[in-house]
Amino acid sequence: MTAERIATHSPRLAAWLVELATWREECDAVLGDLAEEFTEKTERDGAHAARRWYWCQAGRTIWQLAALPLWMRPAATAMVALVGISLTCAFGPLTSAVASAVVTRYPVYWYVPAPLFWEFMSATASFLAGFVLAFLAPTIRFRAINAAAAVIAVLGVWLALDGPIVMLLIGPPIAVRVTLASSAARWASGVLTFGGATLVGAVLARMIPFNANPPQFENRVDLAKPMLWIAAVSGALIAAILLGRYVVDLVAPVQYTRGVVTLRSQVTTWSVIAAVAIPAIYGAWRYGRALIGFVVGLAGACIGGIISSIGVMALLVLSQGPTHIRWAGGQALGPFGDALLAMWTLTAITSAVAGLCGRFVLRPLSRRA
Amino acid sequence: MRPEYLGHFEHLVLLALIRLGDTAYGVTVRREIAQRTGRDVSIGAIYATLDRLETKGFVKSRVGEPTARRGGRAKRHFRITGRGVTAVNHTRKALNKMSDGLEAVRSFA
Repeated sequence: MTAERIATHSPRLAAWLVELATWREECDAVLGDLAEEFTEKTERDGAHAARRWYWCQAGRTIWQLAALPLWMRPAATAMVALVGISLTCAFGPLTSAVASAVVTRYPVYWYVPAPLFWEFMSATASFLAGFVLAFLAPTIRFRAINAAAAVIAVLGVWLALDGPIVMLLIGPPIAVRVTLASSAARWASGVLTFGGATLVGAVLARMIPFNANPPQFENRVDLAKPMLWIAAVSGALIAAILLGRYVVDLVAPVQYTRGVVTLRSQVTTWSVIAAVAIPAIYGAWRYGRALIGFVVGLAGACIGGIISSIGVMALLVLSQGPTHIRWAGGQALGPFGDALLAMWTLTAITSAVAGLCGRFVLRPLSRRA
Repeated sequence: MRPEYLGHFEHLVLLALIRLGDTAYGVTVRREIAQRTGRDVSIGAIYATLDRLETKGFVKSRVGEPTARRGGRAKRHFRITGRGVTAVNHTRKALNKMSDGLEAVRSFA
């Protein structure tokens, strides 16, 4: 068995978990060191002992990478935790509003128990905070896992102290009997739910495959090909959203009232904006120019508009017969209908803002990460 | 300029870098500390400390060549800087001054 073959047998799950706990720039070195010692251990002590050693080292490595920087930099830890908890508080009303809108329109409680649904929606705010925090933390040289660990640590301390402090100031609650076991259960539930959601958000952000070095192209034709691919993905997404909306309206028609924007219209609008903005941000970040993001956003919207218009016409023919095709109105016919000016203005603004964000916000952040 | 002092583990890692010279990377630093002090430290502790030392300007790193033995992954070589050497000397002097004249400390040396 060659050294290369042995090295590839190191536990993949453990290696992946270690990868999530490291900087991108140190990831290869840490995993390479573990693989090197794993190879030697396999030759000396056998595969079973080597795998056990690898898992043990992976666990200790993740723990040390997550916790050591918190001990070494307490002020930075406190600041990151404060930002994380503030972000959770800021996202809280947003997720509550979405949850309220969903439960007032759809029979959610038929499928999901109400406490579980609301617990999940509360954790979503922590998840979003963890996701955003993972992008902000590198600016003060903190890994994504350090940011999540800082929030979890402060949350743990806070949840352990808030109950006794409230009882000391106001007195024990009348309706509920507080015991040590109930306090411990509340603490564990809070840390697991909110801390866990923060950790998942941060880890998910770390999983996004960033590459800080933009590829170099000799001429514009070489650059046009990958740009067209990104625009095509954006266009396909936009077309899928608009056609999906059309199908939903066909299957489950809704009574529209003038001046009232329905939930499905809001979801469609924001999904289309995201389908324009995310590829534009990616294009600007990947190729290091805001203009590329702008062009990708506009091209994606154009492709999406054309595909969705053709798709809607096909669906109209299939569902109601060829006589119903008209060139006016209809959301999916936007690029050629009355909403042309508003739609393209919105697309241009979204693409421009996304391009600038990708170039001047995300790119510097990912370089530090 | 105020002298900069090192934590205990930072001190050990920098001394290991001085001993290893050009061959210093994660595995060798870990082994050097384990052989000389008997402490079984994890790779994570080494990298978290080296990262901190690099931020302080005590250490510099460069990426080496990938090898098959490492699963095709590159080594990261570390080298102590002049500032790092000064910090080691300051810390060592402070420790010597504190233990100077203490018979109980000397008897363990």
